[in-house]
Amino acid sequence: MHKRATLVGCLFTASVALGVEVNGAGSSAIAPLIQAWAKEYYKETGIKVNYQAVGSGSGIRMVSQRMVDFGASDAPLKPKQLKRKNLLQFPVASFGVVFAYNLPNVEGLKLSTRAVCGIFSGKVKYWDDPVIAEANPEKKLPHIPILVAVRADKSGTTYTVTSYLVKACKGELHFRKPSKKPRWGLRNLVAAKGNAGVAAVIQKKFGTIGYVEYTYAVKGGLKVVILQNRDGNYIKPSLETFQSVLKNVHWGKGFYADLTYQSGSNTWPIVGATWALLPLERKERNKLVTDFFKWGFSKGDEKAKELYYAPLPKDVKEKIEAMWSNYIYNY
Amino acid sequence: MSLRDNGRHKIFKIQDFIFEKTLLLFVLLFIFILVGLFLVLFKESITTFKEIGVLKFIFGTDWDPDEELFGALPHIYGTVVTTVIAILLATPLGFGIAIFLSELCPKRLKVVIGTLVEILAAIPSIIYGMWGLYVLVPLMSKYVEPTLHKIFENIPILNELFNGQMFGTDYFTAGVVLTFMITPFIASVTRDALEIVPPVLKESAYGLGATQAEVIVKVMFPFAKLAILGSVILALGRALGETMAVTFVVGNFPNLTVHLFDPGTTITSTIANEFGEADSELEYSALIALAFILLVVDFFVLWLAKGVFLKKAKKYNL
Repeated sequence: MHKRATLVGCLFTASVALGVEVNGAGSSAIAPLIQAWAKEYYKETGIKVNYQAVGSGSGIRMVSQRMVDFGASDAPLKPKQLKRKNLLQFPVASFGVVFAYNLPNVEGLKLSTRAVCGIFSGKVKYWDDPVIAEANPEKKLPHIPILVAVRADKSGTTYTVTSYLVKACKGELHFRKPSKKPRWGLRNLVAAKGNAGVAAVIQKKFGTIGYVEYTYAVKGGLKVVILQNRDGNYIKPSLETFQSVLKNVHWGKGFYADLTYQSGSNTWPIVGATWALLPLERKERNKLVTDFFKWGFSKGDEKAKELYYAPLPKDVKEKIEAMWSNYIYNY
Repeated sequence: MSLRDNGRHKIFKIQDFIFEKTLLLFVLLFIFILVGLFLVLFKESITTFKEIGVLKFIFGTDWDPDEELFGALPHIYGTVVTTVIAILLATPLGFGIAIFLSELCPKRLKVVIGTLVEILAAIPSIIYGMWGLYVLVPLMSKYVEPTLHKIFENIPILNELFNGQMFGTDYFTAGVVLTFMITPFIASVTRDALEIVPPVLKESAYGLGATQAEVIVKVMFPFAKLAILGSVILALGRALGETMAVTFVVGNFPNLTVHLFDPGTTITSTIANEFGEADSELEYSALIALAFILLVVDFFVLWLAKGVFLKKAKKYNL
């Protein structure tokens, strides 16, 4: 055992001397975090981690074809798919998606689940609709049409929002399954590219409501909706309310989990996460990858919060590290 | 003497040989790349053509990756519509700028304006896209589109064209952004072409009592026809393939409609939006098949322009 450790240690130092690089690709949602971690990690260890934000779908394809050391996807692969592609999967961090809106003189708008479903099914067309007014008795809502801003490109953010909507609205919507780009079936729709594009549309147009990752709402200074969660409470989005999901949720095989619309009194209903994917048979390369994520888990929480990602709770991290030692370290 | 000459002659011959073959190599390299592109795109699209059928793919109107429905028609339609709008608007604009620069502009301003126009042609397309989204889209939805809608309200056909949701992100705005991108091309090539018209020709026309407008339309344009057509074709090619700027403003929604103020999509913006997140092999293949179609359309346009129009122009004029 000891011998092996020294051997690994030797390989390790040798790889540093050779300027070893680790390559990853996939989700653009997690890219800022992985790149920030990689910068610090390089300073400490001299190992370079390159991450290309090519999109989750491409990330899965690239790691399946063994073109990169790890992939990252905003939707977890099912255990069956993992087995077929011989991949190992674990979550890296999670993020919240919020509704942002543009209504002059209306601060702290509250939306009930019923109101959200009404808007996204096309039944609620004006801002002063009784369904919206009900939760906002003290506010003066204007009689202007609601414009819904969505993502034009296929995206993990949309997947997260639609899986929340599908569960919360049950059959009211025009689409039945969560999707990276559903057929919304709405007439009052504006589609824009990327989180930044949607944020720009919301900023520019009165009467717009749209969904963006929390970071973009904060950075863009957008007004965010106080949303009713599964327990019926109205919640303000924050890292604590995103993290609350991670503590309660059931992590299945291959860390498969559904994070949207979970119960909990202080739980934000629209939470997504990014999962890393590793080729199971590449033991030595995997060690380099897991070392990086181990570093990120132990030292990267502050950086994650700075970038508005919710770090994983301690017990989840421990479970992930236990899985690594099962599959990767004991060979 | 003659011996030395002979030696030099040989060296020249070898130099010529090397020079010629090197140039040939350059040309072959690009032919190889082009053929390779065709082959790779075709190979990757085979899955789509097999599973969906060529005609069903090209004329299919439904595009929904979740249901594995892939119809290319709305994308092809969007590409054609935005390009046609751009060419219709950019051609007169570009000609106007070119005539002004070569005939009417005071000499001192000529260099300044000419350079500015050329700089416009060099601006990266993503900048046009951002400008389009942040500046042009609000202007279009607030002022331009409602005004056009009002003007054409009672004219049949046109009232259908200038109609739609008017959110600003639509076919028309995409066409307008493209117009701004390709006008400089047309303007600068046309200006250069007009400037090489021999002064003798112009002077003789003036001598015969022609007005300035007559000289421009009847003498200069016919003389420079080939180059001018060439500039329009160049612009057409750019408009067909433009991705980033269009993606920002076109609305990105497969939509077969005559309403120019409705959101739509183009081949290139669909590829840009969906390629990174393509989940199934069929979707991946369908997107590449879209690219293959665009390449074929591009070839067809070039052939039409060069093989048919320019040949005719040659026959009657130069």
